[in-house]
Amino acid sequence: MNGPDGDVRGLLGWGELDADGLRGGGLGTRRFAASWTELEAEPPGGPRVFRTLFGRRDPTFRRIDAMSRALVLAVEATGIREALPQEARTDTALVVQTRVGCLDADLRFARTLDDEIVDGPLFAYTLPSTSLGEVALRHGLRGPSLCLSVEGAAGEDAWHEVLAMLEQGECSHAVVAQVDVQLQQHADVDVVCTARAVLVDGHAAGCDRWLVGG
Amino acid sequence: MSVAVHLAGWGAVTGFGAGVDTAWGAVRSGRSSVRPRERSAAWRAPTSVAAEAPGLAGVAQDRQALELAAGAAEEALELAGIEPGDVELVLASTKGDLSGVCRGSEGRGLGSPDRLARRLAARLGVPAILPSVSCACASGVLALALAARRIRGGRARRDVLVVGVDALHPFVLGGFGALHALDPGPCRPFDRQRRGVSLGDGAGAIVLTADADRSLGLRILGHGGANDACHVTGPDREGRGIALAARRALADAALEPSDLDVVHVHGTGTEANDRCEALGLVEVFGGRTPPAFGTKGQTGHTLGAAGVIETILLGRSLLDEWVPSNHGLEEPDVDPALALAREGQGAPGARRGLKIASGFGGVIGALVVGR
Repeated sequence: MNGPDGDVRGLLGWGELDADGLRGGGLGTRRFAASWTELEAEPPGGPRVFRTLFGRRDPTFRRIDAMSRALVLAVEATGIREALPQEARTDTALVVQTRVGCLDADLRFARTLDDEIVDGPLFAYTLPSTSLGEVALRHGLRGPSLCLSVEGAAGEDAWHEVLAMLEQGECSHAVVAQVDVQLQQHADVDVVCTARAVLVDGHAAGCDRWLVGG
Repeated sequence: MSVAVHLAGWGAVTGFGAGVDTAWGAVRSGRSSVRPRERSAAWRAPTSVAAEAPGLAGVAQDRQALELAAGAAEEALELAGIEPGDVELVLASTKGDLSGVCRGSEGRGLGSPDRLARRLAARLGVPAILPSVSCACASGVLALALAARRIRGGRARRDVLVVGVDALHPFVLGGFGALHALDPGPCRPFDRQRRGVSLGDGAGAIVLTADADRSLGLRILGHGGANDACHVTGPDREGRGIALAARRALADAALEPSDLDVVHVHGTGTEANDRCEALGLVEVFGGRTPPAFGTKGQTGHTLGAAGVIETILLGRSLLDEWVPSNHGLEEPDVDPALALAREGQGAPGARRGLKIASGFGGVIGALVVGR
């Protein structure tokens, strides 16, 4: 499997998203790269949202928050639907790290606290594990799930955790990701919209070069 | 597990006050810290109660989580007989410090557990911070699992101090209220009259080590995780994720369900969680479970702290060979094969227990703890 840096053992697919667009590649899908203009959409958080993702309808996508959208898109871009065997999904771990977390949803939710009706559905998205749930339910991933709050912007902490999970037999496959979406400058947090994901099996080695190196 | 993971020290701050002995003594005697709201009385929420930690009223809101965490951590370090410089820190929290998020709130906590971890490390003098765990109400259990994984895999350069913490905040109280997940009065997990959760301040800390000579006499024998993969706020209707996580923890510990003597449930007090958790646990045990108890009716739901505090309480249950009653439970309304303790009872010879926790996003964690 060719990652951006060439052959990487154990890498089944990769996906990344940023302000320019969406890119990825995986078993069973050609490597692709598309700008948001070409996709006829905007980055997560913009008003134009997908009604279909990679040829499939996703009726709830427009209702989830920007962080979840970014993570869902990055994981879809790995080609997970073709690359991850159905029988492996129960034992596929999902480990995500984020620096910014849910700050965007936090700020939006906090503004509703003084309203007559506080936004309950939005509150669920103030917990970063909810974005993991959006990925897990779309792909039937029932392995261990973990969300890490980390200062670093790369995915190395999530990657090291997945390596340990694979080594210690906690999972057979894993989705490892980094996601940071902040749509408005706030305090010392800049505007950012990035997500990266890799899909790996038990032979994974060296994938951290892509996930971390960028 | 190839490398044994021992509990070397623990600490807690709850609605009962500071100290593990304080919390356990209250739990064992059947008392509850879920009381009419005072510090949080002005916060809009459809409940009259919460488990507020004594002494926080005079602490600025942006320091409350830090003070809770530091209190628990210092007790754990003292009991373990080690210096802060001898540990790596893993923090578990749902929202960390929320300063700078709500209107009129100053500060830069910004809801980031990592930022709170750095403040705590600086306060304690801990030199190394590991990734913080932010997995909603499963954070504490998953943080303990992360630490155990690290020790077992030989990656830990020092002992690991796991601290779970969350302080009551209008943001969270308002959120749970908006989801209609709060009981208007004290919560009653697993009871027919249950109507939701009662929230509470809390911090729990556990020092984990590979050094058997410093063990409290308890080990993490195994851990397992799962995701319900069906809904972001509701559990699997058949408790399949609970069963999966528990089985994985048992397999990791090389144990059978019949090897367990006690279960500490998640038991939040919501209709769905309690019902589905019972189904999942009964499925694991193939029928009647060992005696089971939960403590959220007494400490409140302490969110990111819950998994750590409740693992401590499970540990005390094993060491004392005592299973507390389930506070507020008068008429169980879940699968009767979940053997919920109706009265405090001795558990002679109890050696191993299971701790379960679940959270938004379908995340689930399970630990097997043993003497």
